[in-house]
Amino acid sequence: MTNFVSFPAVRLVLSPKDARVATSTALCYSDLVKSITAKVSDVSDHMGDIDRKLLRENLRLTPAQRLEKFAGFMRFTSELRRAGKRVRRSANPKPK
Amino acid sequence: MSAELEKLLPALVQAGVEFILIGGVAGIVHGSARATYDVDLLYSRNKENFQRLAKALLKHNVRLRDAPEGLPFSWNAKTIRSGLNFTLTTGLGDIDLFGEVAHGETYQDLLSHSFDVEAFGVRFKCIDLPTLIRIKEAVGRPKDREAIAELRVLLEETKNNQS
Repeated sequence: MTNFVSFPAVRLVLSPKDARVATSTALCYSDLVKSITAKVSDVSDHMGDIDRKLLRENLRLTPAQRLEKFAGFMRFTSELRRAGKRVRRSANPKPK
Repeated sequence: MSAELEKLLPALVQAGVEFILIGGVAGIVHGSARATYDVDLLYSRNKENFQRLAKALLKHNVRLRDAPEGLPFSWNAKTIRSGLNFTLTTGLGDIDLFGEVAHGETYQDLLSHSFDVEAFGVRFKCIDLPTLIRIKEAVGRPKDREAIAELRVLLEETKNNQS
């Protein structure tokens, strides 16, 4: 008996034993294709949401300026975090 | 704890550590607008570099991030040689050190996919944009999808600027 297993671009002629193996491989392959397609389309979906204006502003800076801008932002967030901690501490002082 | 890039990168460069900036901060170099709280570095795995890396961070209170309190850990060349990838908290912020990235690629493998950046008064290597995208895609974390999308847009924008 001849068995056929179709992959997207090839059609294989196999023995019954090989056909069983190939069928399970084809199922895995199909899952893999689905998962890769899902990932690619997920990323492509997100690309439409990206603020290109913001990125173009960044691209006008040199790499060093981008890093310095980011370091400044991180200093700012660290200071905010420390301030938040101080507020929480003063609102809930440790019992003596 | 967010990294103090302006202190960390000069400390590593001045100690002669061989590394390539990868991850979110490399994304910033390429124009990303996404915040990131740790610095990812791919370091060269050789005896001299283990010693330089150990020495560069020694005085910055290196601890394993999210490790149970009291877990014995000493930061030295032997520890680096015995391990591979380290997620660390230091006095200069959180650092992820990678001996290898996706598909087992090392510092030497990716050196030709890096370029020099000068910032904070020092010069260091940063991974190129196509390779950064490839590494993030290979890791395949759902949380990276938005970051990958942004990096792909940056690649498009950069190509448009060049043409």
